[in-house]
Amino acid sequence: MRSMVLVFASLVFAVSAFAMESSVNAVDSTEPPSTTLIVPAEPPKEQYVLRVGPTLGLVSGGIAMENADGRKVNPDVWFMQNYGVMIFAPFTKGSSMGARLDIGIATVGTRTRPYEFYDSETDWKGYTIERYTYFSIAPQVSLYGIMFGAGFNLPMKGEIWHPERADNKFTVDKNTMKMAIDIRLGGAINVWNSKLGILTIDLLAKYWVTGLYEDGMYTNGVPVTAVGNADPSATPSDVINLTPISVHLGLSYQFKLGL
Amino acid sequence: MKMMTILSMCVLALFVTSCEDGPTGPHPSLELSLIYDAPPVTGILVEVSGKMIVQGPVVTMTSTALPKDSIFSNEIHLSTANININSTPTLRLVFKTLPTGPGSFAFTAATIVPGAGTFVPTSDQGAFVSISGNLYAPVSGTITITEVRKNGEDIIGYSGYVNGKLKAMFPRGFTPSIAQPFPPGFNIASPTLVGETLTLHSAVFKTRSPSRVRPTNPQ
Repeated sequence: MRSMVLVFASLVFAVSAFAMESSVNAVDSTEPPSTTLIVPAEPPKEQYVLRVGPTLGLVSGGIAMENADGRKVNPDVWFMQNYGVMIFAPFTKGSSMGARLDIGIATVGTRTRPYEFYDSETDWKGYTIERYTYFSIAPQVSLYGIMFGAGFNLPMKGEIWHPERADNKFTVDKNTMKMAIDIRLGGAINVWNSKLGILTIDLLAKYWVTGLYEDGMYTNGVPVTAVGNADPSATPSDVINLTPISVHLGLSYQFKLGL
Repeated sequence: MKMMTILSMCVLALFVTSCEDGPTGPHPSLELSLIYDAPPVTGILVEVSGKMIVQGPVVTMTSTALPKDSIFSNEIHLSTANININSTPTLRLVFKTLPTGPGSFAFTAATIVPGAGTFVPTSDQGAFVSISGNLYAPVSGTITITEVRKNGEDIIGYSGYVNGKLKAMFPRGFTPSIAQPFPPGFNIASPTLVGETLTLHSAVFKTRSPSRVRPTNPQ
């Protein structure tokens, strides 16, 4: 968490410093030279404004779309674990339509009930938490704030743990995870627009269409009996992948960079 | 150019914040003690000494219960049956000397030594897994002992978990013949493991047998 805050703060500082410098340059360049005092002023020329800034996911949720026989899934929710930078390039000067690129850390997860009597509970009450962290590069199209695109997610970490034993985590073998592709749809709502930049609230839904694991590598993808033993009737083709959906609510501050 | 430099630095900063390999840690779905209901009977208690999740090119991802255990002079042995034959799934944990307290014990990569008319993989510390008729020897990983139960100077039980990579000496299905006594890649002058890799994603154990062992060379 501390490293995330440090990285986010440094991102804000770096992009802010650069944006401030650009805005000062822009003001300097528009200062009328002394020789044009007697010439009628031309209308201000509209600039091509690139927007760059940090993003921070406030709250995220996810759930697996499929479970192996003998298991169940539930939605899980987590906070402040998605962060990065974004670039918005309008298709034309002043346009609200453009291409957006998000680069940063993305997380996805689910709650899994490993088997019916897990944790000596009845009626599927026991569960574990699965959380996967990716370095994500996501090109998107933004049409008046409506965004759609895809994310290419390089695995960084996968962890599974019991909710009451969070200091005793199982770290997934990273070699079993693959570059996961998500397809995404969402929106960026403009809540504060100034000369310096735009603050937006971002809402994004993702479907991790390729799954998170290589084929046959998901440790919770194996069919089991009610007490967690391997299902003797299962075949290798019964091992499922983890294909979650996730939603994210976050903020981004998009500094205006006039070119 | 300046913007690209800043962005590149940001991307690098993001990427190095956390990158972790695995597998490490106990898999939370590997429960050794479980109470369940099978109406009309309720509160049925089942206990096993160990469970492991393994997977490899010729071993489907599976969770195997290991109800039997024993502790020897420098080994902890967990198995599905009292009598082991080649096809019996077993997990054998070998130590340089039996641990006398909690700690982590890194695998020593197995080497191949001549045995009785053949070659045998050996390691002074690590996990050996026998499953689906093949023996896998340690390559890399860690045995973590979380509890040592003692009665005076004697050790009567262990709890812990294991994660790691193992490898078979020969590829599965290889049958020696006069024309080809060893599989391709196996050099008898400098023998190495040339079989399939097995990932021991996680094994959790808590010995239950009435063992009583005194380490000969306490750590």
